[in-house]
Amino acid sequence: MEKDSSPPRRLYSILIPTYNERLNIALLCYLLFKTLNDLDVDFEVIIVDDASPDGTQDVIKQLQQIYGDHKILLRPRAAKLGLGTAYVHGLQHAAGDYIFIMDADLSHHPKYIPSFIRKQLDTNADIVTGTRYLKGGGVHGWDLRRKLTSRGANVLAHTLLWPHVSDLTGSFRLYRKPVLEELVKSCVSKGYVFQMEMIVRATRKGYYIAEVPISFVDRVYGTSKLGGAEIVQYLKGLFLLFFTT
Amino acid sequence: MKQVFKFGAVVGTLVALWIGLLLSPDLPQSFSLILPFLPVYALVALGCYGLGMVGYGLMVFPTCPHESILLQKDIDEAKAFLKEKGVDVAYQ
Amino acid sequence: MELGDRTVGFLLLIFSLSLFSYYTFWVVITPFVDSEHFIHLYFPAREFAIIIPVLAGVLLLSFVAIFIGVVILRSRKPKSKSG
Ligand SMILES: [Mg+2]
Repeated sequence: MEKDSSPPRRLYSILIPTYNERLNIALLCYLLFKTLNDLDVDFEVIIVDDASPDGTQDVIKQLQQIYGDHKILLRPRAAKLGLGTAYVHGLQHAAGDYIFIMDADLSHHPKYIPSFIRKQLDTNADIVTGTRYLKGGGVHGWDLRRKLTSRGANVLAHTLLWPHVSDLTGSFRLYRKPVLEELVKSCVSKGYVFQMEMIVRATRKGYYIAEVPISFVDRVYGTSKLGGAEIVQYLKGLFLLFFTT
Repeated sequence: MKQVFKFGAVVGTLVALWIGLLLSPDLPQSFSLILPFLPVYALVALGCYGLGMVGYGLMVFPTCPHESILLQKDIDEAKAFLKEKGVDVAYQ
Repeated sequence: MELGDRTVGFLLLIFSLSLFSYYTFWVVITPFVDSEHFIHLYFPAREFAIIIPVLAGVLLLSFVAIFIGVVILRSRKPKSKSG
């Protein structure tokens, strides 16, 4: 193979919204750089912090000392403004044509990034989404109540919406930049329901979505909440999508 | 086409079929015994399907206890690295 | 724990399958069985095949409505204190 015929190198932007993730973001960055430096791909990490009171931004500045501030971009905001706008904000600073989104809480492990990239190259998909519910995926750290809620929510969503995606609320995904920009504009939900809205609207717009199995270890540091408010939010999101997509 | 209309089309077709059967004059006796029950029967079937799918999903729920052990190792490794570099990550 | 959750799932599945079979039998088969037959001891009158599911549906819907109402009321209270 000649050098000239090889395609131009791709840049992947990894977008991570944070709020009070002082410890997790440091651990995550270490694992990200460990995985990606082995891979030999070009990447940048863009962290959108919503004015965390716990000093998350100080830790990120220390990480910039280690890894370089061209590799870790801190793009903070003045207040807790929500997930959708965090992506909009991060996208404005992203140089890559391919955007990863993932959680800061270590429930998404960077070791799966290579399989996302490979899947995208193989299928030329617009979106590659990580699924916890297909063969090879899995969840750790959920009690019976959490599992029941999740299964119930899934059955409800699949009965009402007929999406062709197994894991609607997963938030470990790889998007083509224009696709993400387009979708983010049309989504209005809050919290994790936002992820469901993104993927359902994407199926309706006819984007090609591929899935890769991932394992999900519920957050070790901090608490993840699923109470009545989250359930009602989910139902609201379902009906919004049922009537508007 | 919006999802409501797709969904409505399916339900509408079923209802139309049912009414068509109700109004057709030459039904065998056995049919007319069961026909009035069909809508409720369909709802019960749907409910049982939902409940059964939740149960089945719970039964085959994919778990990965091993992954949490691996993650713990990675966390220890990362913490050692950060400590060596002098990054202070303790919650305050 | 792990096994316990799977057992709960299995029981749910068995429960819904038996419910469906029982109801099917009740609605579709009992009308064709001679009214003297002992099988009728195991099934209530057929009107109940309509009444019970409708009642259950209404109960379910009102439960959901109450749940949503309670959650919304609870989320309003802290806001009204601050504002
Ligand atoms: Mg998370």
